[in-house]
Amino acid sequence: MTFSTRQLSLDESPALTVPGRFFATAPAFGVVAAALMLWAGPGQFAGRWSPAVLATTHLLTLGYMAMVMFGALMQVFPVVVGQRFPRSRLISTWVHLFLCVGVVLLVLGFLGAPAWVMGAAAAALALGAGLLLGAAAMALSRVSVRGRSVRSLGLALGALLLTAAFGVWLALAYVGLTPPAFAWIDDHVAWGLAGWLPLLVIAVAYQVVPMFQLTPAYPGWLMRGLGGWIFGGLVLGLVLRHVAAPAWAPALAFGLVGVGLATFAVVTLALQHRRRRRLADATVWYWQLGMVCLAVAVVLWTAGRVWAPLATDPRYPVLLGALMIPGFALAVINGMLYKIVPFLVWLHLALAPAAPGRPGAGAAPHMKQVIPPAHAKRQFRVHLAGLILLLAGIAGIPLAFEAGAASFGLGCVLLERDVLLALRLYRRRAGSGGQASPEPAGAGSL
Amino acid sequence: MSTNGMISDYMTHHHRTCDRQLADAEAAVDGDDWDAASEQFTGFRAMIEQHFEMEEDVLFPEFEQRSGLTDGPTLVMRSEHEEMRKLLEQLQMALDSGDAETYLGTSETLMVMLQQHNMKEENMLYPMADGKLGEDAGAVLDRMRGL
Repeated sequence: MTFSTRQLSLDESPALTVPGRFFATAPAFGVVAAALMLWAGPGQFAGRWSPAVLATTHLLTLGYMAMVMFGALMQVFPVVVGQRFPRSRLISTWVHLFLCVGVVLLVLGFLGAPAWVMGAAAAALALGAGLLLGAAAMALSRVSVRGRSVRSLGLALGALLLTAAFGVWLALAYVGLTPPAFAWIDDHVAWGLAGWLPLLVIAVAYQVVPMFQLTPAYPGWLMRGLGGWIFGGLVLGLVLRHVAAPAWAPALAFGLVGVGLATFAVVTLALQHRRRRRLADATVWYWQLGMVCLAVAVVLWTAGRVWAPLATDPRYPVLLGALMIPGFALAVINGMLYKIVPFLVWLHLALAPAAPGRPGAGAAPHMKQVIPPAHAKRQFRVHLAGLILLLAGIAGIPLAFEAGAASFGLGCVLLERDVLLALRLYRRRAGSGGQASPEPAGAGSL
Repeated sequence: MSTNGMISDYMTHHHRTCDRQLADAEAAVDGDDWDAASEQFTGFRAMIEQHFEMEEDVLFPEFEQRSGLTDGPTLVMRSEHEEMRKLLEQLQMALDSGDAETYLGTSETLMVMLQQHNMKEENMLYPMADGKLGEDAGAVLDRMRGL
């Protein structure tokens, strides 16, 4: 085994701006999504195919979810697999730019812009995802201790590759630049929402849930088998959907994926129930909300396979999407941001060499001074209210959809404010010595 | 048990013991039981200092000598130990002055710092130390325990 001196080295760890720009942008796309929901109204959200639904979905999955995930990956690689992203400052700048431009163009494309706009969106998103995947693959290839975390991350990134490839193809087909590809839409959705999203959350959960909430470890059989089970089920489903197999065959394969996802949700909730650290904490609440939504989504999906009238109701896929995206994905993401952002601000201030006129390391504000816990708890309650109202609105309760979109948007505004205030605190403190802060030692942390 | 993984197993278990003690001190402060908090924190501080010393005085020098790496991972680990010692000092001051808010904020910071530090050690450094030490892992572990 080798451990090169480049790894975890002092001056090559990512600067705060590397993940910071992703974390600061994501909630803004949430605000745009909320505005679009309010503008389009509930009628547009009564089925999955309206332009407003497609645009909102991608504002949330690409603009918010993937945005945070990409930034977090650059931050956690040194901690989890001992490898930095190559040239992280440069790569993060371009990935962030391609992703931002790509999402905006994609949304305009869905809302009726000329075909070239969608073509440009596909190109920008392909470049952004390709750059991220290339850098991640390069970092993973240099890893010398191939533990469970490396395998889990590899599977998640493999699912991202397929999701992105199907997505680019579908975007081009949507505006007629390539032949129609309707048959592949569900593969794009399955690899994104049942592959990349949960596989990354699972890889992170193995580390984060036991260590930060002081729960027992995930059972060994689960950690060894779950990632491969989910990935294998998706591959099987993909193949069976496109060969002349009876309709129940791919449903059974995706059912296996569902069993894996539900097991993960239930085991996580059971572990959290036994956590030793019992202080009220928005991050724990968010994880619990996310796991409940994931489990309910699996139950609802299964019910639709068993009872056909449910699956043919146009509201059914929109409900599933709401449970999986603001319910599961954004809950876990918001919960993690409320821990990662204050910690990184503290870390970069504490480890930056003290400059004249700048408070010493001992004076770095602790995490609860960077973002007060009351802010996180309030933001959680607003997000939860928004989610419940959105689900009710999609189900058909009058005015619930509008109230839910407004509440969801307010939650995004609150999160944006908390992230920006934290980053501003860093800039003020780090800059008060009259010099730009250098990249601190050990900042590859978390 | 083979010698393979001895350091990892022992040190990972020791991490979890320290974590529990830190959480218990935090719970006592949160419950406004300052006598219990003082007792738990003193126990935690002694335990984690012992852990740092096992690494700094025995494990890291052995690793550095056998890997030839003196400016790599162990340097980062040592500098993170120093940051955590500062947080321990701040926790002691908050405890002495009965300042629950500062204690809980600093304890949260130490908890996250400690866990990301532990991840690096458990995912990378300990498995590598086990690999480098090979048959000698048992003897090194005995010296660490003897501190």
